[in-house]
Amino acid sequence: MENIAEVLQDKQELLFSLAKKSFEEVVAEITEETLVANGEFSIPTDDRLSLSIIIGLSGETNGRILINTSVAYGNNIAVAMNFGDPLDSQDDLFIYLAEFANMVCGRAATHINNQFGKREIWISPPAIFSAQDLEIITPNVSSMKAYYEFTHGKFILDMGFSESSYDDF
Amino acid sequence: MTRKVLVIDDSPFVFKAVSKALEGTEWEVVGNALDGQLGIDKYIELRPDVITLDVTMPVMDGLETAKKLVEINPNVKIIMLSAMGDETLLNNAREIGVKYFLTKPFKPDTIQAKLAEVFE
Repeated sequence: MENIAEVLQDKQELLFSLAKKSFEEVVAEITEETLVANGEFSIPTDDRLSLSIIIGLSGETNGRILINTSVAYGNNIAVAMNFGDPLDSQDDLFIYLAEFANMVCGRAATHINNQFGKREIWISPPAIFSAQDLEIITPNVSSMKAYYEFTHGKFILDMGFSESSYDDF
Repeated sequence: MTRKVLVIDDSPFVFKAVSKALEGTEWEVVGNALDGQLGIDKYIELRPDVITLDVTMPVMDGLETAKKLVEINPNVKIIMLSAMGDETLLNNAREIGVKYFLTKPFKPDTIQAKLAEVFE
């Protein structure tokens, strides 16, 4: 039993390392900034709306990737995606950030599928939540987090694995 | 001579970004479609010179869409423009007849270079 737990832990750490690599690559391609994961922090919400983007993972491994930030920080990334120009509207902010999450998770799926030599995971369309002091709780999901602070703001990458995935072991 | 581009992608971002990236060039985005079936309809209506095609879409995904487009026109020029690009996916797309691939995110110069490559 311990062996199964160790194998599962190793697999989840590998998947998470590939998700982190993907986040760092995509942000670098958009902002031309090199990222390094930081120590733990929280996103300040006193004067900022929280913003979370969630994408589901399905296939051999089930789970989800959450990107937590604030509306202001999210806007910085969206402007970079718009080749440096301001966005036309608030609607554009959510459209751009949904695509940002799609790029990160699509890249992660690419690395993971190439690593396993088969279709290990597939991604679902993103959903965005924005509110004051927003906290998304996903029961029965064990998650790993990476913290990034760079010129465009603070971002938390949170990858969770569904416990139903354990049935495969 | 202006060449026509059709964007098939469920994200409106891609239509906006490709249009912006091609401003002032010989390329003009003449339309977009948010799923594969709509994309086929637009292709028949607009007859673009080249299509940018996403993979993960509702109604009809990019691979199925590419297959149908090739059936309509075996010489159709498709650039698979996707966040995903694993070897299994790329091989499936190549088997259908897709020859050009670009991974998101992209900069204006990279998509312009890819379009130029299609017509070399």
